Order: sequence, then C-alpha cells, then structure tokens
Amino acid sequence: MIKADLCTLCGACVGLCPYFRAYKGRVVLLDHCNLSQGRCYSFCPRTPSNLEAVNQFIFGTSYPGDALGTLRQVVMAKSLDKSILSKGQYGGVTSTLLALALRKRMIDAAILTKREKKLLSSGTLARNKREVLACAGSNYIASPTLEAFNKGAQDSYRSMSAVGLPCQVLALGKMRINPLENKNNIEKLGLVIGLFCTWAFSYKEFFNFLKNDFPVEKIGKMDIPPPPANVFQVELPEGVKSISLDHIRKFVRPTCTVCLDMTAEFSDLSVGAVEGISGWNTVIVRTAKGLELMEEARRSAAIEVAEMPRANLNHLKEAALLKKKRALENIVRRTGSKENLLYLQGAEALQPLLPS
Amino acid sequence: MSVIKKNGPGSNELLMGNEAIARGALEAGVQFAAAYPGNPSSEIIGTLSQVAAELGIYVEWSVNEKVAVEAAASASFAGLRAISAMKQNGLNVASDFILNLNLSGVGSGGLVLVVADDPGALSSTNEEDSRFIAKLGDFPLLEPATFQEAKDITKWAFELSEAIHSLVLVRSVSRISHGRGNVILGELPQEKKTGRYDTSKIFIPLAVPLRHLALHMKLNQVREMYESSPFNGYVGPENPELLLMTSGSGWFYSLEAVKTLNLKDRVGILKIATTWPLPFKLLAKHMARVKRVLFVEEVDPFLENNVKELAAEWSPEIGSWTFYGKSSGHLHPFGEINPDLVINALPKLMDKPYAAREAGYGQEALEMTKALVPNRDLSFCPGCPHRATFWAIKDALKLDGRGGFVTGDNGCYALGLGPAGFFQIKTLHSMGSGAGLAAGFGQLHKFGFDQPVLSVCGDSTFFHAAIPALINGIYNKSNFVLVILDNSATAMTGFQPHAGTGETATGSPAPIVDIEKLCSALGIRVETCDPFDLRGTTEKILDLIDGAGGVRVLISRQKCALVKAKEEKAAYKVHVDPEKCLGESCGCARLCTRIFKCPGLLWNKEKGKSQVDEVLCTGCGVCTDICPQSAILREEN
Amino acid sequence: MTLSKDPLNLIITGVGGQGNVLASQWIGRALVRENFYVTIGETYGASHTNLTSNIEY
Repeated sequence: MIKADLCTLCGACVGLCPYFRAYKGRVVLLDHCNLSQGRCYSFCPRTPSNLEAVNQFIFGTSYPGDALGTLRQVVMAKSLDKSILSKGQYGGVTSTLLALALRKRMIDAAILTKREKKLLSSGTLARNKREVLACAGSNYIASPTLEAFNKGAQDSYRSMSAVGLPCQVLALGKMRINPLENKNNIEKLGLVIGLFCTWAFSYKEFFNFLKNDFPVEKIGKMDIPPPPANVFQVELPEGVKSISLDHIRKFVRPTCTVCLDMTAEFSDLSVGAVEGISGWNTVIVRTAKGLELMEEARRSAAIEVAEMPRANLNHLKEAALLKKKRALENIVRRTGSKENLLYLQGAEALQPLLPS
Repeated sequence: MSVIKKNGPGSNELLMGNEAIARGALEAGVQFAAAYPGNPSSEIIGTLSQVAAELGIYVEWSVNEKVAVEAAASASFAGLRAISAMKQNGLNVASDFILNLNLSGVGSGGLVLVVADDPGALSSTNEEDSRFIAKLGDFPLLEPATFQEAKDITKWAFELSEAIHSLVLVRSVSRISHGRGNVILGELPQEKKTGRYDTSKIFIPLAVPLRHLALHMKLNQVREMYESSPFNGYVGPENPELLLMTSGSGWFYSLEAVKTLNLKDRVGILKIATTWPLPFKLLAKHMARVKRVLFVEEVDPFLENNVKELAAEWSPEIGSWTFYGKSSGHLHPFGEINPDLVINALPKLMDKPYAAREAGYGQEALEMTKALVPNRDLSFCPGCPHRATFWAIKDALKLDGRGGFVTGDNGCYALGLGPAGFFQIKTLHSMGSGAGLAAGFGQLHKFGFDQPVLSVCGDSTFFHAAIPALINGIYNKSNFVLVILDNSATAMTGFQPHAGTGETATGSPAPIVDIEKLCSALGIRVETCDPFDLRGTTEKILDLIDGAGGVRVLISRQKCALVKAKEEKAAYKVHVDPEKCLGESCGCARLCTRIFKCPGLLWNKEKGKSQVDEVLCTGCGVCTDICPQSAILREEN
Repeated sequence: MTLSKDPLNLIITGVGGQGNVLASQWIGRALVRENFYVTIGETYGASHTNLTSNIEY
C-alpha cells in the first residue's frame, strides 16, 4: 500500500508489531515480516475492504451506497461550554461529547489526534476534559492516530472511544470484523466519532511549503471554510492568513483521490461543519449508542441541538455524493475496469454511481 | 608456538606453513619483522611477535602494508635482515614502494617479502595471483611446495637477497600457510648484527633506465643460481608421455593425482620452486623430452604463460608442444585448485578411464549431509557491537526515507552486506574504499543526488587507509557520514592490536592514537555513541544525516565481544519468558531469531518460542530492546 | 619422496567451534613424535560453515 501511494496514514498498522513505525508523517516498514496473514493487512482501509460486511456488523443493514451512509438522523449542534467553544472547531461538539462521556464514565479513554511541534500530529490517549481539549481543533494533515488505539487497547482500559477520519473509521470497522484469531482487543472499542473529510495533506511536503511563508510554531487553528471560499486559513497571532487552495492541492495525499467516504459512514456519530452557519456542527447520528450520547449531552445541557435546514442538508448530500462519484471515476481509471474497484468489495450498491 | 624458538637442530616438528616460514626467517638470523594482519599471512608475524622479546629481535604490527615494508627496508638499509609478510591485497598496498625499491635496491641486510595468496577468496574480498608483481618489478620469486620448503626457502631467500641486493618475494597460498606437516628444524644463529647505515650509500631508483638495465642483469645472475637450485626437482620416467609442470601447492596435488591413477611410469612431474626468473636450461632440458605439458598452479596461468613464451622462442630448435592447463580449461582459471581437478584432468589426457566411485555416490552423500549439517549463515558473534550498529543504521535509513545507503569496507563488519548486518552494506572493495567512495557520492548533489550516504569502517581500517579519504572529503567539501566501528581490535584477522588499542605486537604498552581527537582536529563534527543503546544510536544517526553538514564522523564504540569475553564477565544474564513470547504470530513473527539473528538466541520449533542459548550468549543485553513483547529479560550479572 | 606404506587418510569434519582444528593438531603432533610423515590440510577462516581436517600419514 505504501509503495502504491495508497497509504492513508491512518495508523491502523502501527503499534501492532515491531515492523511498522510512524515517523514524521510517513508509515515506514522497518523489516520484512514473513507472515502471509497479518492484522496489518486485515485492518488497512486500502486492502480489500468489504463494505457490506462492515455495514452489517455495525448497523445490521446493507450498505446503502448513498450520499451519507446508514443513519438515524442529521442535526445541527453546538457546545454550551464556553471553554470548549474557544478551543474547538465550529461548534466544539466532538470535544464536548467526549468530555461528557469521560465524566459520566461511559468511556474511560478517548483516542484523539494531537498536534505537536512543527505541525506534526499523532494519536494520543485522553482520560479527562483537559486532555481532550489539548487535542481540540481541526487538523488537515494526515495523522497515524490509530497507532494510539492499538497501543492503548493493550492497557487496562475497558471502554475506549476513537475519533477519526473516514479512512480511520473504516479501519476500525475492519478491525471489528477481522477474521484472524488475534482480535486486537477490539471489544474495548466503545464509541467511534467520525469527522467529515474531503482530503488530507501529506506532512513533509505541506510543512516545508508552510515553513517558507509562515512562522509555523505560531500557527493556532487551521480551517478550510466551505465552498466557494477555496482557501486554507491559518490563525496567527497577528490575524488569520489565507492561502488559495489551488496552490496547495498538490500536497493532498494521492490516496485521497480514491476515497469515497466524506462523512465517515461506519461511525456511531459523524461530526462536521455547517455550511454557511458558523459556530455550529453538523452531527449525523447513526447508531443507538450515538443517539444515547447525544441524548445524554442534551439532558446535561452540554450541547444545544437544532434542526438542520433542508437546503443545508441537500448541499451536504450533494457534496458527499460528488466525492463518491469522483472517487469511483478515479478508481475505474486506475484499474481500467468497472468490475475492479481496487479495494472496494461488497459494494454493489455503488453501481449507479459508477462512471458510464 | 614455543617450538618456533626451539634450539634443537634436527628435531622433527609439526609446523604450520606460516610457522615454518617464521622459523626459516629466524634460522636466517632475521632481526626485524613488520606486517599488517591479513589472512592467510597473519601467523608469520604473529608467531615471531611471541618470541621477539626472548630472542632479542624487533617485531611490529604496522598500520598498513606499505609502511610495514618501508619499516623493514630501513633495517635492510642498516645491514640487518628483515622480513615483511602480507596477503595479496597487502602486496597491492605496498606495491608503489617496492616498485621503486626494485630499482634502488636494498641494503646489505637481506629483505624478504612473503606474500600469502588466498585462491578462491576463502577469506578475502578478491582473488589475485601475486606472482605477476615479480615479473612487473623484476623481483626474484620463490614458491615453496612443502612445509619443509616453506622454512628452507625462506631461509635461503635472505642469502639470495644479499647476493643481489634486491628484495626477494616468497609466495605462499592458504594450503601451504595454514596446512601443517613435518619440518626438520635447523640451527638458530646466536650472533646478532649491529644496525648501521653506511652514509656513503644512497638508495634511489634514479637514473631509472640504467637501473632497470642493471636489474635485468641481476636477474640473469639469479637465473644462473636457479638452474642448480635444490628446490626444483623432477620425478618420473626419463621420457614421459605427459609432463606435469607445477609450483607451490600444485606439487602435492600432482603427486596425489599421478599416484591415484597409477601413472608414475608414464607421467613426469617437474616441480619449480624458482618461479621467476624461469631457469631456461632446466626447463629446456625437460621439455625436450616431451611433447605434452600440463600446468598445475594456483590462481592464474603465470607459470603456464611464461613457459609458453619460452616455448615460442625455442620452437625453431626444439620443436613444438601441446600445452594444457588453465587456458585449455583442464584446470579452472578461477578459484582454488584441488587434487580432484588434477585427477579429473589426467584420464582424458592419458587415455586412461577413471571413476573415483559409483556415479550416484556424490549425490547420495550430498543428500545425507544435508540432513546432518546445520544451516549456518555468515554471522556476527553473539554480543558483537556491529550487529547493534547495523540495526540502528537500518532503522535510521528506513525512517529517514530518502534512500540512504552504506558504503562498506574490510573487516568483520564487511558481513554487513548479508543478513548478519541486515543487508546494509552496498559496496565492498579494498581497505579504505568505503570512505573514498562516500567522499565522491557526497559531491553528487550538483547532479540532483539527494540520498544520505554513510560509510562504515573499523578502527584498524581507519588507520590503515580511511584517513586520506576522510581528509579528501573535508578538503573538497563533500557531504557524508563516516561511521567508525571502534571495537578496539583488528578483529577479523585474530584480534591483533593496532595504533588505537594501546599495545604493541609484543605486548608492551603503546601510546593510544585517539580517533576522536584526531577527527576533531580535522575541524569536523565528531560524535560518539554506544551501539548497545539502540535507540540513542538510531537517533544520533538520524540527526547526523539530517543536515547536509559536510563531512561528519560517528564513532560507534563498544569492545569486540570475543575480546571482552576474555577480559570481563558478562554484563547481564539474559533469558526469555516463554509466556510473553509471541513466537511466529502476528505481532512478532520471530523478529529476534529470524531478523536480528544473534546466535545466542535459539528458536525452539516444538515449543514455538525463542530461548537463550546459555553457552553462546555473552550477556550484552541488546536483544531485550528488540523484543516487542518485552519477553526477553535481563538482570545485571 | 617415497613412502614405505600407503598413506592413511583421516578426515575430521564438523562445524566451527567443535574443536576440529585442535583435534587434528593433537593427532598430528602425536604422530610426528612417532616419526610418521604427516600432512594436515585445514579449511577455516571466514568459510567457517564447514571444517575439514585431512590428516594423511
């Protein structure tokens, strides 16, 4: 996968064995393992992935192949906690839900992405609100976060939550259905929160680019406002600076072109922005667990929930469907055949979206 | 080794070829010996160093072969008999000096240079026939064929050297140098000469053409002496159907072949010990009685081609011959020769069918031995610091991700090109070449080259040849990292001391030439690390290759495991917790026994677990940091 | 040189570390003391995967 430029840097293969290591924005294979059947292959979101099987396991229903995936409801929400709002992205909902879940002991650890020096991010384990807040804020550079789940799962935590991009959420789904004997303590995975994602940047190239124009140690929040803005924004002490997306699209990881999932379809909850309405999050509630957490948060007055305007919902569906179509186009171009969907399996539902 | 200095003329002793050579030098009254270790020559100076103090002679391990011969030549210039010994590569290193020394001549003390070739490269990077240098430089050349001759020829070589004031070459090969056999000892001279340089003499090769002419005249003198040398000999019928012409180890093989095929009434064997210049008359005499000649010699058709040149001159008078040997393919022109090759060449030539054994025997034997012979890679010893250094290098280069690579050099660490060193080394040539190549690679950034370059060399190799390459890199502003693997020994050849270890060949204390200070004095960044700290070493390497900071040196310092084992007790007691060991499963896949491969770790097939071999493990504790499950445990000893 | 009897070939074989070379030396020395004519060929060095000592006497 690494050689074929398909690696998403999700980190699902790291922390399982001494052969894979995540280093400075790459996953490196240090030595050759001689096993033909390994967990790394089983968990990777770019090796053959049976979407039908994952969907059945998590939801008990068939993979729909539609814009947003299996869901119960789509709402808007925002945090009512001022300290979170200042740190979080848009409505701060992800951080609020996790802080609450930890406080109420619904989970005892959360796997999040933390940005360290030089904009390098990696997975980290948070056990309380303070540690959750340290990870707040969007990060547009790929991070091997699932390494932290793999390592954390070996400790004595009983119910863990993980926040990830769609590729990471798919990997977690594959971990749940993995046929190998070694289950990687996946039963400890309690709640998955997925984040909306169009694409992610490769670390080294993007960092070197930013380094030229900005004092990278001073960058605060990062943001890509919804179209038609077409900019990437960084928050600096002197204000917000914008860079045209046209200048930085070349730093997007090649593997993102074959990703069809914008809203992390295999999560319990998926969280993203609301186009045109700042300070709020879109929340897609998919499972009973996800619903339970939202209800708890509402009851505890941790969040405020509102109905999602029809126009916004339609826009969201359009955007998600467009990502699917584009991905399928790229896949078919790459494989040369509509029968071969590269890593996608159990995806008959996607037939109508294939290029003609 | 005490038999070398035994004062018992006429006693019959079992000596190694190299010991016999050393004894021959002692019987000739040698007073100065200098060499650099090199298989298969190391024992010559090695045994002399052990008796040096008692016999009142001077013996040194020099930093390289060129300075060794230069040091020995000084003794010769001062009227003392001197010897230097080396392997074929060492001769290459010394060649510039001796190709001037041939013209300048040597002093009144005989100077003998023993070169021990390694046919088939059993322990070398190359295979080479050193005899050509005799032709190149007009040196008298002698090849002993037996252990007795190894002693007697070496002794006579000093007389020959003094007769013509020229360096004399004695050529041995592994089978002679490392074989053992009966040697009847001669007398040890009691008298010691005083060293004095006669200042009325000068030793210079100028005026070159005249000296060259004079050298040819010297060789003619030598040729006359060779015509009646007792070291040449013939066995066989008066008019053989086939003449085996042989020198050196070929003599044993020829005898064995003729005997095995029962051809001693039809095949004659002419043994030449005085291989250059060739004794014309002796050869002409034997060649006049035969029309077919088979040459049996080691490595290249030196004797064969030189005799063919003579034959071309003689043919108008004596006639023509059919020659067989390496050119005809009867014996391989590569690799080592052995009795079987000669035995297999003869049946066709003598029209005498021969089958050593039934047709399928060889295959059967091979199948049987496969089951019995354990699979053994070329490996580093348990506890070897090189394994740890190469592990850190492997990880660092992979993590760095720019396609960095390692240029290699000569020594135990040369095994880094195989699984022992995780296939890190990509080039291997002569001493110091790794640094030389790296200094060149480090200039290629002008042409878009962006790969980090590491060069590895040992502490002894560093002194021998890497210093000029290092300085070249600094002066020409190259970019590379030289990793000096400092294990405080010239290990591969037998743990001989060197300029950095604080001890001379004879065991007396010596000033330590400090590699770190030396490199720092060159004005470059020098770091040190302990290879047993894998993480620290990996980080250091990553840091060093990160910047394009000119020439940088990393000294990876930890004593050779075998030297350490003789001096200290083990640092740790190591064992594997079988409960924690994952063995072959996903999560480990036998990292310690399949990739790290220290011989101190064993794979127990039945239990499916790793375990520590308590006999082989030296207790370095490095494997505890490799195990992903912390199943390998160490306690301080 | 001529030998009064056919030589006896004694082959000691094994892998490095088992004491091949030492064994052949001891046997060789003992034989020399008994005035036998002995030749020992050894293979060792970097080629340590198999070790054969050929003692002919």
